[in-house]
Amino acid sequence: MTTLLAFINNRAVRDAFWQAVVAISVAGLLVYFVRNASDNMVKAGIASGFDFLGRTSGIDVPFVLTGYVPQSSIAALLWVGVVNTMLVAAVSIVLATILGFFIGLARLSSNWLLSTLAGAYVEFVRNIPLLFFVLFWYSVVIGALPQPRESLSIFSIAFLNNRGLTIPVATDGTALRWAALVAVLSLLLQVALALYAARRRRLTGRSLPIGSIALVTALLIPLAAFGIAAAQTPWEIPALRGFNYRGGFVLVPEFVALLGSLATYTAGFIAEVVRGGIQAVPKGQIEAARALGLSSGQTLRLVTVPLALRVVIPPLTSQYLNVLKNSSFGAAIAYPEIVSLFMGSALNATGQAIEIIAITLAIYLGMGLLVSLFMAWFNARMTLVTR
Amino acid sequence: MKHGAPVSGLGLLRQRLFATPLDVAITLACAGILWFTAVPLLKWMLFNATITGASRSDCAPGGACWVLIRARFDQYMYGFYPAGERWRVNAAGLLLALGIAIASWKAMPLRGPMLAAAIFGFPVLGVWLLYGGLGLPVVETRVWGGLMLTVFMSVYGGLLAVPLGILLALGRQSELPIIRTLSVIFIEFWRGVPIIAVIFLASLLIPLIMPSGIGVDRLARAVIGLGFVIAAYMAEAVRGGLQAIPQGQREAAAALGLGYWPTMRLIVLPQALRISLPAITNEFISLVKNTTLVLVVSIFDLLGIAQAAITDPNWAGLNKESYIFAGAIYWIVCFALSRWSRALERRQDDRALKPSAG
Amino acid sequence: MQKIVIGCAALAAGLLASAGAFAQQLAPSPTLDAVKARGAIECGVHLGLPGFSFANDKGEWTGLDVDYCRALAAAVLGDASKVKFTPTSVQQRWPVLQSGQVDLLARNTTITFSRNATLGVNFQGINFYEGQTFIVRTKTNAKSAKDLDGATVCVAAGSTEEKNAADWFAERNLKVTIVNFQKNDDAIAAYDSGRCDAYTAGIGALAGQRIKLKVPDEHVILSDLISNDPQGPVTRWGDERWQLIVRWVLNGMIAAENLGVTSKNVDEMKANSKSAEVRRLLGTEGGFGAMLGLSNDWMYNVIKQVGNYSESYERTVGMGSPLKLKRGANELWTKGGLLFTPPFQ
Repeated sequence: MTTLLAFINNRAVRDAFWQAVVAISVAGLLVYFVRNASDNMVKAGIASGFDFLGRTSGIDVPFVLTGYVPQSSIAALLWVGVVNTMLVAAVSIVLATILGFFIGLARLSSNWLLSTLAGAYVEFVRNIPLLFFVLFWYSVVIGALPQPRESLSIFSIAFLNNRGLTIPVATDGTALRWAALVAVLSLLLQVALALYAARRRRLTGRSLPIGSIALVTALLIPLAAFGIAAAQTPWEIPALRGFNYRGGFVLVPEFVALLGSLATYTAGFIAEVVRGGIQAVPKGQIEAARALGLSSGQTLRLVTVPLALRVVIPPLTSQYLNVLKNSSFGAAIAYPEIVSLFMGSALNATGQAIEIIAITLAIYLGMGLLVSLFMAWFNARMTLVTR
Repeated sequence: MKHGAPVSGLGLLRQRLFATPLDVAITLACAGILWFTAVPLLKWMLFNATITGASRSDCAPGGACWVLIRARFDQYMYGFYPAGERWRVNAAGLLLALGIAIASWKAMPLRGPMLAAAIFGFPVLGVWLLYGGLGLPVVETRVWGGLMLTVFMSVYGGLLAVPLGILLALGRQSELPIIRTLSVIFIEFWRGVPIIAVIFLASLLIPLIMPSGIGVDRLARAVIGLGFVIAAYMAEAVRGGLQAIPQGQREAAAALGLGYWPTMRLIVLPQALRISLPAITNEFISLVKNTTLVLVVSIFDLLGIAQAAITDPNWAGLNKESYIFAGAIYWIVCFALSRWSRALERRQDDRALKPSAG
Repeated sequence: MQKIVIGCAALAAGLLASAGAFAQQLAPSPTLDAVKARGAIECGVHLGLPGFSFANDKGEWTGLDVDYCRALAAAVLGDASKVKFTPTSVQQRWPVLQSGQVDLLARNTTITFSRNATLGVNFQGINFYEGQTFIVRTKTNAKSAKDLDGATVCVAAGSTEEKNAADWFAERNLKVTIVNFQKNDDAIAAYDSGRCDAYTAGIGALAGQRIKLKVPDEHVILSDLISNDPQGPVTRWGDERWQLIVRWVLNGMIAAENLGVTSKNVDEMKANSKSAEVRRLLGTEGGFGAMLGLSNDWMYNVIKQVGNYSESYERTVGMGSPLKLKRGANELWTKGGLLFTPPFQ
């Protein structure tokens, strides 16, 4: 009896027992759901399996960066969605970071009007559902842009109207690819020079005129390369025929609207992150920098920002992940991203809800994981550098 | 902010707006932005706006037409809830206000029992009032809509998310590997997927995984979906609080012979929840904002009603008015909540309970 | 003599009883049982399409599809008001039907092969012959779909129109840009705001949605049709008796028009009609309702409370409505249209 009691009261035994209970009930629940689903699907005669991915999609998409055509497969349609999602998320992240950084700084400005305006912006943005932002931006973008006949012409090669921004495309990209190679090599050269300069300064105390070299390697050479290549490339210039401009590539207004809303919305959150990061920098550090004779700009660049970055990166990562997930709001305004193309059009064409939802969720989880890994790597680097 | 010697009003103005040439430029630029955005906006929204009248034709051009809001005000508030039964929505609203009052009035006599009654009794009472049964005529959720639906989803989504979030946070901190792994998977899964997809998922998948014949109400599905996602975020908020409690406290409790649950209930959670309350409030704000996404499964919350009002042929073209009205309501609710959360945070800073940053 | 009478009576009683037992042996219909237990039909309808299914600001539903749901309620429950409408978007309609949240869909859904073959749904007849076309701004001077080369077209994602349009223009080597919105309302709002040169949908649906535009008179619906989109009520696979009921209520409404039975004369026809088919339709002869497990005055209730097909059509999409659609293909086969019903025999 006492041994039994001791056995029951044994902590390890109880822990194992409760874990087993939880594990079995979770597994049981999952099995139960899966069995119900398969029962229901068999009973209802719903097709299942992943064969549908190979079927012809038949859906025309207005914004395609891959080689997709309506005759392509549904898997190709999914890939269009993934690429469009990543594109809008990536550009939004860059814009939101820049905008958020400046708004965050503005909130800490000694100028009362500027800091109040920045504060009002942040309070406005943070307390409005993003869906309002998206719908608002869309109506503004569509409403403010002219009809194709009254397009805004940009040097007569690009045209802006409510069908989007039509830009010329190269019919043959060989020269441009060479130019890109030259630019990359030139940038690599710059990086190598910078590393060498830093080493030399550490060893000899003498510095190279790295700024002027950068002007040449990072700016002049690439520009020249692209300039020459562009002149050599045959271009397809959009021309107004019938309803709209023909030829060229169209940057659809849905993209602009989604980009605008994600960037301005997320900037409000990033501004708070940046403000928190800067306020977390110990005052003594800044005072010490000023005492060493650094200007306020130099202090910001060399002391405040690197120190603030360490605090800022984790919350910034979660904001970036939010942008990635929030790009799904594009579905509300017909931006062809994953949810809209795959959970919308493809789901309707095939009716295979379970498979499609599973794939969609897996893709988001995968992309989120990639962003998290990258930011973790960046974070690790930053903490090392500032040691 | 600089704390110098007291200066006169004009001096203050100069110090804060025109201290350096750069400041002058910034101030002028800001004033310019205000002049070109805020002034026309105010003109449109207030000075040139039409407030009285009965139809579209009563509205003056060049200003907002708030007549739409007046004409359809009841729909913005109650959706298609039958007019004769709307007192029930109001009663449920009073119940919510009473609950908040009980929760925030610290010095109230008999606070403990009252709070317990509010937490466990009011939600049931609220569902009974809104849905009906047991003497009240049933009002199906398909006719619910507008602000009441938004509030309903927020409150009940929160009621689902907070306890679940606490459990998940404890699970994530647990020493039992299976429970910890399951909690981590649950949390990271729901945090990793877009809410729009979750709402689709809840609305399409829940009927499929239930045995045939058992239906789950459309609205309930949306609330469950929202609740799960927010619970995962809540769990992270609570975890922050849990991590701030020194390990020594748990060890001391164990030394006193307290088991896991008594330790959590009496010692760890009361402190951890107080610390994480601002973060929990922030997650609640995001829940309120995300209720708008039920639009994708055609549930007419406040935003849905605002959209429906626009598609009414009699009021065509009043998009801005409808959106601004609905948006303003969301903003006021969320702003009030965020102020409250910040006040809580400040009180904690004063108590110096907050863990050191970094 | 007395014995014979008693014997006859006993025989009759026995026959009646066995007939009763026979009636008991109707194929089981879980959907019908559920409807009766619930006291209402759950009907999946369009989110809001004037003329077909549209809720006004008081939440009252009207439309051709809505009328059909009401007719079904009148037939099954004897009361046309016992319907619950579930508005569904293009995406939601299949899962909602498949998972049993609604008893049927009546939401301008086009009958197609792949839907019938892979979605586990059956189409129960045709209540509207729809054909896809475009609405454009009058000032574009487009007279036919072929004039739309280079145009931008708004469409609801996941609809048959989305694929039809892509196919149709591709076959003719015409280049159009198709922008796919999640909901019809979003698509038409985008068209109205100038995002697209055209919006495509069925000609009937367009007539209804045109009313939602800011200035309806500045838009014209092209008359050439690029597809045939027959539409009708949809049920799940299985429960054949329920499928029969759904199909024959629709047939009954069409037959009533053909036989000249209207909501106005139905009482008189029921009492006095010499036509055997009318009497069978209205339940005074043949006991047709009982064969489906309904009361014999099932179609009488439909016609009395909702009307025949023509009454419903004219009230919701025809000349008595803002849509003013002519009957066209939706005229009876006897009058040059396509609307047909097998006989009530």
